[in-house]
Amino acid sequence: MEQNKHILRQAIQHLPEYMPKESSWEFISGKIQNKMSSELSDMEQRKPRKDVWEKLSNRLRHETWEEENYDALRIAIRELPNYQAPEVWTEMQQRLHPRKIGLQLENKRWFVGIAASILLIVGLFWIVNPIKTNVEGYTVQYDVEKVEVKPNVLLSEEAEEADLLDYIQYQCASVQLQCEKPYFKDLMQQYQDLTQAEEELKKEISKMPNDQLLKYQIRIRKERVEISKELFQYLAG
Amino acid sequence: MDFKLDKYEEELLSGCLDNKPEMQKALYDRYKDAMYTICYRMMNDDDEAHDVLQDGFIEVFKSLSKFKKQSTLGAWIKTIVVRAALAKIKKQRETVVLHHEQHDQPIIWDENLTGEYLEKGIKELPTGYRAVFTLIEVEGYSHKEVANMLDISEGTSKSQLYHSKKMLQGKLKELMY
Repeated sequence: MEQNKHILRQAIQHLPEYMPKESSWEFISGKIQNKMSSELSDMEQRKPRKDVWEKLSNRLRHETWEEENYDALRIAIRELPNYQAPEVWTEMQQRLHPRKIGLQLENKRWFVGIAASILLIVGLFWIVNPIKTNVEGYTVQYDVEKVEVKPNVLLSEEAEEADLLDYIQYQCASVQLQCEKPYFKDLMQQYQDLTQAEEELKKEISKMPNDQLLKYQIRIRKERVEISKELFQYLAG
Repeated sequence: MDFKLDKYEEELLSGCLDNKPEMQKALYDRYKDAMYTICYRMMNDDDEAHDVLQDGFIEVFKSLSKFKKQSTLGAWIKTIVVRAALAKIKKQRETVVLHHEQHDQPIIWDENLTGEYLEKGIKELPTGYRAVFTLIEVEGYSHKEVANMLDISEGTSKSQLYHSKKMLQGKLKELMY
């Protein structure tokens, strides 16, 4: 049986703490270092081949040569002219379908001859027996309406960013060679970086709403929209 | 990764595989200008670009069955046309000149550089340099792809690009000032 145990507990709580001597750690760490260095000295040492650095430095030099005003080059590349292909299809077709072309031309000559004969006979028949018609007074009118889609109209709303992206992705997935161009790739990379930055900001804002962060988010979104417009304009030519 | 072609391109592809001349013409029309621009820029000569365009498209039609949709149809056609251009360059024995100098001087592009001057500068480059510069900087091929097409190492491709840029820089100075 133990009585007044709480007094013991209180006393235990007030027992003094002692600090180790400052030299203790020095002693321990010295021991460890000695052990490690003796173990390390026992290990076999290997040296790299002499040409490794030479190859490495060559690669570094190739990959990191200095280039100033690279943007000026990128802009000039974007301005390079496009050329129209000359008419080479007929020659190509002859190479692709040599026999068919010969036959087609031969058939065409027969067809033209027969058609000319029929027209001559019908023409002579009309001259001899003119056809009487009751269709006088009818006139035919044509209305031509030209519908033009202006890319700028599509670009007016920020909310249409998703549509623009759909268009860009659709174009790139199918035909657009422009999408392979470095300028387009650079822009796309910028767009993706901004998207990622905005996602990260959104997470931060959800944890701790903050006016400054919201301002950043708005700025990033604006830049993103601008880049998506630029991507669209680039593809729309 | 498989690329999804749009309905029209699927139609063109299947028509060309059935050897239908009208479909072949439509495919040719769709890509002829873009391909001719590459040919002309690489060959720097109207007649040669014309020949390469023909050879390239003939090869496209012959190889269409091998198109596995691992890139866009346009990118696939472009690679074949570029290879046709490179084959022509090799035939002319105007192979890429290899340099092994150190890359110790910076390349500085002039603020006033325009597309017009650049086009003139590219035209003045030797064939090999013109090809490497056009393929990498203008058409966006990687060093790995160019190395593969030219049968050289990636390091050589990088070195060639550096030298083509150095030379281009010199040519542009003469042209602009």
